Amino acid sequence: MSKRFGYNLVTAGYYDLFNPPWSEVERQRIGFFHHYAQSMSDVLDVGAGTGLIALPLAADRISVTCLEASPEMRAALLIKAAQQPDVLPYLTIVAGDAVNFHLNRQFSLIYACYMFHNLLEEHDQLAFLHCVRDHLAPDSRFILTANFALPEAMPLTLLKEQHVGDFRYCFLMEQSILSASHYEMCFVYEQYRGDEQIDTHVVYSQGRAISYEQLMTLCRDANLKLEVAYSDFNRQPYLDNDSRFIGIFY
Amino acid sequence: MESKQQYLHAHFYDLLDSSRVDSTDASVRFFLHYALRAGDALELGAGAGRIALAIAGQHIPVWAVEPSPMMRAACLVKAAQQPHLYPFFTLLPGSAQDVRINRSFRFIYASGVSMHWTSEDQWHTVLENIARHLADDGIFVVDNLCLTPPEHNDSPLAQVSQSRLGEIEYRTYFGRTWIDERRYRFHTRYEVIYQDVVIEAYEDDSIGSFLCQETCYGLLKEVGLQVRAAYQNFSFTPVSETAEHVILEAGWS
Repeated sequence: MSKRFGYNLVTAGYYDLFNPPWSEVERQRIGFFHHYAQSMSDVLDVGAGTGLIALPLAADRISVTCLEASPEMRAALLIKAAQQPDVLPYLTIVAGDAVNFHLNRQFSLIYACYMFHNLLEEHDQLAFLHCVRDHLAPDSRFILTANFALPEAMPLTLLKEQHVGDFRYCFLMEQSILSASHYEMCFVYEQYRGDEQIDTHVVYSQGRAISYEQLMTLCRDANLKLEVAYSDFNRQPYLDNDSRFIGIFY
Repeated sequence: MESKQQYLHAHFYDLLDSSRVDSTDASVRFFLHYALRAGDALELGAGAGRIALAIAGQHIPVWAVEPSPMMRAACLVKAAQQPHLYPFFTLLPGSAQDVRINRSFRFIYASGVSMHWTSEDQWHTVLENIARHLADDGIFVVDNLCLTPPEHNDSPLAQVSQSRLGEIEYRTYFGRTWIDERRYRFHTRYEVIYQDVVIEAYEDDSIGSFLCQETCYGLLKEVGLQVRAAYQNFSFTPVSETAEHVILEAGWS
């Protein structure tokens, strides 16, 4: 059976179940982007997914354009937006690929959270950064998150459980190393009634790890300059050898 | 045979019908009235969970049965945003005619789906299954019935709703073509429009049918149920001869 890469509408529902916006981790992440977006007139979320960051921004009357390649993720985002009539004027969902988008307009803030590692070739990463550059308005900012280390290989491991009604939903993950720079993650979502397994969905995702120096070279090539870097969403300064990177570029 | 609709465009439903996200909507209040009295509920054909999620929101355990994976996915996306519902909301794959749950319910309902039970055989199988799950003092409610045959005029696709999300406009079109005396094909088209240009369009077809009053009452009787009340709207107005749609409340004979 072929591997399914990327979420479908079914697994998008599971994704939200295990990554709720009210968890401490996600609240910090949302708060970080809200801090930068609140004074901006026009924001672009590249790889918006199910709108975990964009929806809270739109709920605070910040105009956000969500660029998302996956029709299933856009569908999940649309369903969530429809439940919140207050966000409707502020949220625009557009189909598009991060490495080749042309929206014929510019933004005062562009961010890409947890998507850069999914660009598996250097030319795709550079194409993405050029697209960002082309859409940045004068005096604007670009926020990029990246990981500089390969994750450790991990056997299939149960990470989270959630009870909904009489059912138990489980989230498991496996990580494997494909090469010196590439890795693969396998996400397994399971649904149980008692001990009986009702439903299983498997999603694969591949990533590419690059170094700080490689990222800075790509950014220079795309004419993006680093203003400040952090190592987490609480704005701890980025230090040499930190694996997590959140850069603010202009 | 049961309709094998995929509902690939379930994500447009709530956006294009604002009443679907209004928990004070008359139809939601109508079914909530029964659920509050019963203390538990089973919905057959729960769709994207419009009514079931509202019932769970009142801390009433509700089982939502839905055959379409896409509809269940839409339901789960919505439920995932509301953790206060988690203890009360069970979402189960299955259809009205074949789902099996090892318990009974004091309230079973089917809203907006009975027109998809397109033959008397299918109605009978569904009602047998409802009888299997209905508690001794249980109530079954079904809506969207026609007492009198509707006019058999085909209607071409016509725009019925629109909504704007940021800079994108979304539109829905409905049309109907009769297949025979009892069954019709229902056409739906969804459009996504940016700067007056249609950038995405989807079409969906479903089969609906009309069941006359005598047949419906007879089928209920076959499984031991009888009609206790008939309403013409969700405000509990007793049905009149001119009513286009009917809601039936049934219990054990």
